[in-house]
Amino acid sequence: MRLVQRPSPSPLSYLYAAAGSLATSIAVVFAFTGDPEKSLQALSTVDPWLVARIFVIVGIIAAASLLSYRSGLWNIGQEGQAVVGALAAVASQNPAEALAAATAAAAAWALAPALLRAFAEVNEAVTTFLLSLAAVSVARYFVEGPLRDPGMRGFIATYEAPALSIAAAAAIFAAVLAGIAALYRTRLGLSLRLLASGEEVVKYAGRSPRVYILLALLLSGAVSGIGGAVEIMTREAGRYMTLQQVSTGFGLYGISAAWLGALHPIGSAAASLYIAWLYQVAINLKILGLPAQVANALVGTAMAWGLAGYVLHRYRVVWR
Amino acid sequence: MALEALALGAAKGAVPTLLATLGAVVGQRAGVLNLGLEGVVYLSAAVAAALGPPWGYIAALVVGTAYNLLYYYLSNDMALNQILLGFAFTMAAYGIGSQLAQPAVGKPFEKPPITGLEAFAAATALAVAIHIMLRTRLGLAIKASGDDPASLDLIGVDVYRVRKIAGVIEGVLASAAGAYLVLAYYGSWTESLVMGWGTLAVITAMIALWNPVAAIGASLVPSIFITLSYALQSYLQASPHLLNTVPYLVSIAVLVAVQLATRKTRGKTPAPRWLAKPYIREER
Repeated sequence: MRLVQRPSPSPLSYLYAAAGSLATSIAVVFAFTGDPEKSLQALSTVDPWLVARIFVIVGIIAAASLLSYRSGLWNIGQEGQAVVGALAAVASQNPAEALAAATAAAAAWALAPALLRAFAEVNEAVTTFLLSLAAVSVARYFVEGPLRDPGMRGFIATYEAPALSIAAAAAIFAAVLAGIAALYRTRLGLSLRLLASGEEVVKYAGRSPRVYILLALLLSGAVSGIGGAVEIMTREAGRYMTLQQVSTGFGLYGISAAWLGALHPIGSAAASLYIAWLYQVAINLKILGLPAQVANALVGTAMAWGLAGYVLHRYRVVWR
Repeated sequence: MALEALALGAAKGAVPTLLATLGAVVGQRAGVLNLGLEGVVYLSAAVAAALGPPWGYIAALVVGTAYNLLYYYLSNDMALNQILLGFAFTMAAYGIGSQLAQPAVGKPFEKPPITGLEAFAAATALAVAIHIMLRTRLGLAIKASGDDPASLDLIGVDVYRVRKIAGVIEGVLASAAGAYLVLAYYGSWTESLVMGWGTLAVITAMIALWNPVAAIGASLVPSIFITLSYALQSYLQASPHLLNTVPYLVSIAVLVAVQLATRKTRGKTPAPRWLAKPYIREER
């Protein structure tokens, strides 16, 4: 089996990838339930509010991801940046302040990997991933210490974050998408995208690659922070963080949606809806008494299919 | 006395890092930046925890190596993005592994009676063996696949096969690290116990400048600080959660120092030139 270059790129590749992921997910659900009726129940039960909320959160983090990947930078620390954003939201009084604080805090969290990448050529994938493990520890420190709500007595949890309606969250998501679409039409956005072709290309275009590396990673971090803040603020109840419930796993979900959506703002929004449905399926499986951890595996394979779509866009597989 | 205990603890903790680092050195020399290494360590540790001492070691090696080989197949033969596929493999392993080892939570294992120094000496011997291996024909092919796969291909060597061999070596070493972590180092399993070790190994391989002998020293970096942060918890008033982040931050700092120090001699450093770039035969 080998890869052969296509005469012209195939836009259908991402549809194949989505179909492949859908088939894999259905197969996994069948394998776990072992019963067509139960499987159908797990696949078709949908809570529209839950799916809407997850769709918005995953969509925002997918937007953050594509901001980094379209510049050829491999930020995989969205999870940690979202945790920092959620912490900032918990520390705020009202939604507007929470969003501003989350943007700033998450951008600051992404600053170190960005600086190291721009000035010391340290691989940003490794640093962002390690920092997202560190973010969980830092958040636990805040849960126990500075942000602990003394009103909760024996229960160790933070203060409650301000509430945000799903409609407002959807408006924020739309604004982020519109912002990215507008940004990529400017000269600045063009330079950001040129970075994916190599730092030399930006240099020969007469610009400093370092500035754009910093900008792309900071933007990606900031939008991830918004995602984290929206996640904690749109919960119906329990808008606080506990020691066990720091990390939510939406980093992986967002990255998967970005790749399945061809790293395009509208495509990634569509893919986010699919990922939100997968999340619902995982919850249905949990209600049926099956392992909840299947969710990570389902979304992980969805991401692998998205990466395959990217390859199949330009190459075809020849069996020989 | 306290210092001696610290040295023993650091040596014992450096063993899994050294094993996984050696794996990462071989893999990265072959041109593959495998962030799924974290997942391989985690999954093999979970398998070892689920089965317990005698069979756990063997099953961990088999499952971990197979998982790593699948990653190598998808990221090289199928040219999927190495970094993001590795991330997906890590997250999937977190999910599958924590589910597999669920029954083992809170059940301590009988640890084998080895001291840190013995284990470290064995791992050091392995590092020397890898160093020698990299000077054989196979080792040369592995290094060439990371530096100039097109030329390797032109002299008639199958780059994908060489990389898969490197992937098997890496998988065996990383799974051994995972099994050791659960069965010999901690002697118990919780969901988040073995997180981070694989990623630290990816970093220590870079700190060692992809040299197996230098990896012996580099693997001590996170280990010393992990042991130190355990020891300091009883003396310092600092939050244990903040102390947990110290090994990560120190490893990143040392990596930055090494990168900056070798900057002047960039042309001579052994950084594999094709690291994290897919090799597609058609584009040769």
